[in-house]
Amino acid sequence: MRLLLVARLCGGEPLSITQLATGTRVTRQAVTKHLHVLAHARIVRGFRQGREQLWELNADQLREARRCLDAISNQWDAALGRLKTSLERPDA
Amino acid sequence: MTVSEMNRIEKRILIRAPRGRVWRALTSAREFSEWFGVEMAGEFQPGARLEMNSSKHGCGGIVSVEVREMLPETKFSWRWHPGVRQPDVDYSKEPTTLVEFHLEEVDGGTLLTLVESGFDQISLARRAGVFETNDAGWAHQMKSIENYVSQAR
Repeated sequence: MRLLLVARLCGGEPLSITQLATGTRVTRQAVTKHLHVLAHARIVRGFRQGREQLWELNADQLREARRCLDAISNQWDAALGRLKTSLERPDA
Repeated sequence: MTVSEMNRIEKRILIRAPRGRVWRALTSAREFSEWFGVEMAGEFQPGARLEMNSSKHGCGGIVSVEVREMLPETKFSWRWHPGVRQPDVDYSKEPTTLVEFHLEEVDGGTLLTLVESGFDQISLARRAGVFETNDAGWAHQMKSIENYVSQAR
């Protein structure tokens, strides 16, 4: 369920609980509970806009995680590149 | 980028060399150390525990490795804990990522697939930092997103 909530928020638009619960068989109460857990983990944040309570992804956290994964990915690219080069040398 | 994409890294590379040759380069400690860029003692064997030291190319992290499967010329896998070894840390309880190499004979050589998975269980910053050559400055520990989103319902 939490994965679904994060996935919906990945669209970039802040969403209300109603919008987040649409199409699921989960109650608004349950969605709220999950959102609070995610907020505690700094993955999402809630804010008021007029009379509505909206929720959005915490972009900083995601950016950091993405950067780390990119770094790991680059490290593998470099290592596999060295493997390929060493095996394809004429004298390999 | 979806949340599920942040749990694994997959690479595919075609190597113009026979499968047996690629297997040897992966599983011989001496050859592996060369291209991977680490120092290690011991040989790869199913169940073996060894350490890789990335000080040669990286910023000096020691990684504990537990070899899993070795299906000759087909699959080679291990689990590892990233990060500098500390004497008071019980690494057997630390979360690990799984690294899998799959080899397939194809037209022109060998298709090598690398998958690293399990990032939801570890500190991404620590894992990224071990082999980094410049000071990336990820000073703070970060909990991975999926760790929270996947917790017991």
